[in-house]
Amino acid sequence: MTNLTHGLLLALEPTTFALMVLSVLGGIVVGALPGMTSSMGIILLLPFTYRMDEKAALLMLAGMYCGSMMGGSFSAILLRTPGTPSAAATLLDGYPLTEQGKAGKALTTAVVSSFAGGLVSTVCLVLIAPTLARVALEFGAAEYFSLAVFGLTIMASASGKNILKGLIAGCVGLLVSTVGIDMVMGRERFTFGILSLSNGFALLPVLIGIFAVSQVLAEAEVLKQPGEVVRQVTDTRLAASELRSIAFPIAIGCVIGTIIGVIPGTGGSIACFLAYQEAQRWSKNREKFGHGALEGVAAPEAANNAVTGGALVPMLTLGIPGDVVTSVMLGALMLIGVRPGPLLFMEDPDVAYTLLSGMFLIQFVMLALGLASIRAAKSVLAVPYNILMPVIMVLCVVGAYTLQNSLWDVGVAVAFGVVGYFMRRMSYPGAPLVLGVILGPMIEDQLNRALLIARNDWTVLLRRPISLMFLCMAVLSIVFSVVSVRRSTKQSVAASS
Amino acid sequence: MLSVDLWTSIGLMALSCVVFLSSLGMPKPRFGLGPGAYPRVVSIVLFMLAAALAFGSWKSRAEEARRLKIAPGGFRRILVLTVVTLAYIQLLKVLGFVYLTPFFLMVVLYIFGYRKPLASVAIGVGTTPALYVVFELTFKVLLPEFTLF
Repeated sequence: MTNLTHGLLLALEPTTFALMVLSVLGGIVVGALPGMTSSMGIILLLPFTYRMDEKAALLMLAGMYCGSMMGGSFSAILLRTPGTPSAAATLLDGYPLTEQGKAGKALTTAVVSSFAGGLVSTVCLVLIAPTLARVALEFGAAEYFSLAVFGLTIMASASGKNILKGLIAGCVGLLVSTVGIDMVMGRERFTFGILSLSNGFALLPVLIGIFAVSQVLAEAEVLKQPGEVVRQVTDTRLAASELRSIAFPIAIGCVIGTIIGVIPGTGGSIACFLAYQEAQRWSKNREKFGHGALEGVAAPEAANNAVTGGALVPMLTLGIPGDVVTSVMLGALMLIGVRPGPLLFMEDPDVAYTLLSGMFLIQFVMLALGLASIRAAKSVLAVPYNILMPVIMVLCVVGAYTLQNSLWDVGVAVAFGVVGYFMRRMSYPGAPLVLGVILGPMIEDQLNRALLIARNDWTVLLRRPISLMFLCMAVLSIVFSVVSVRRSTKQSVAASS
Repeated sequence: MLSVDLWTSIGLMALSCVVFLSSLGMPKPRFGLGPGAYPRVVSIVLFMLAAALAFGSWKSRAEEARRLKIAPGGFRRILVLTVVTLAYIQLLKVLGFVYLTPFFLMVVLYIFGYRKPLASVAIGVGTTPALYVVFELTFKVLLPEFTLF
């Protein structure tokens, strides 16, 4: 409790708090704009955070994450286009409400539900994270190796329809991480005599390339016009009966979102549809779902924001991301000098507890800014893509340059952007590649340590129970994914025939 | 016609062979991993995965797996945007951020189909100083300077 209070005081420092408010606002805007994802928002924010105090930087990244999750509902409700994948279920009832002239009520429901989801999941984060970190302190090299392998396989199996392509992307990421001087003997690997490759590929240009530059290239392929936004957003107040009607769906969303968030490799898009289905199943007005029910907005919005706290649990305590956005967050934290993992709570409690306390503050800031920005939402959504994307391209160039004042890094970002674009077109997920680059050095280092301790006995990975458990879970995640993909393919073939 | 998946899996198998063969010449310590062992293991796994993908795409006759579908005119825009960006990066060394970025922005706006010349100039000239102030003056990031003379 003392740690949390201390963290709260640090988060309330005027500059830190002001930056946090700005990042939440930025997150809402990023989330609201279709084509701009939470990952992209975090990456574009990164260059601004290098020279900041790490606690302020951390809160800004968390603010961007939470704000963008909520902002996704704005375009889902007003444009029938989800701003982020996590808002996909929101449009099912959100847009019909807009057509009925109830856009204001739908947006207020989304904001209130997002606040409730975020708050509940933050409570879970505060309760679970320090305990799990204490358990993880017992892990040795073999356990860390197996955990990292599990993290990579689960991300590969959850990132797309074709698990094979996810695993290939992960392996390519691991190979990318081997370029440069190796950590054990200091020998150059795969540098082909290029001096700039001696230090390997820096993480930030890879992140910028795969998630941001590739998105700009994808937008250049299909020139989009901004959607037609509703002219007026009026009547934003919810009546007492309406508030009562959304209370239970919000509770469902909070529970499902938090649980889904904690499970690595899942994420907001699964949580929002699951919460929507459950809210419909338990509702007395289930026939209204799909035709403009406030409950149909409340449940998925509570769920996708409840994912945020849950997904931070494995990332902060084990250093393993829960979903695509937290894999970007993991890379972002490492770049600002924060090393997620069990030692974070022991060695850097200021940073860890400032984030935990700050997450509470972020939810309240999000509620206030969300309610205040409802009427302005239509103006944000009217921003033309053909102006936004060139500016983002310049931000990508500057962002990659600021890391080491090196134009080589900018070239790397563009190269990975082209790779990322073709990966998208060929249905290879980008997240496992990035996670491979992030986890590659850890996997190699921990495997090396485990083998040194066991004098080259590879069975050490199977003899230690926790390590064996993680390896079994890695195999199971692949098997489960293959089985579920085959089942859904069979079902779709049967349905089409 | 070979499918896109088959071509990429052949490319990935070739990549894993190159990595495997390059890592064979690396030193091997008595205990623990040497610099070559880990990339070798990853390359073997990658080869097997790519082979499985090749087999799957060879067996599959689905038309959508064969072609890389890109919107009409899209590939040309992407190519031009990539070339312009690479040229911008090269020219930054000599022309500097402040002088070059407005022109880069105007060209990219044109590539994105923005056809208002005055507004393009305003966006280019307005955005560049804003970014300069934020990064160079606030965050003390040294952006590339004009070094031609």
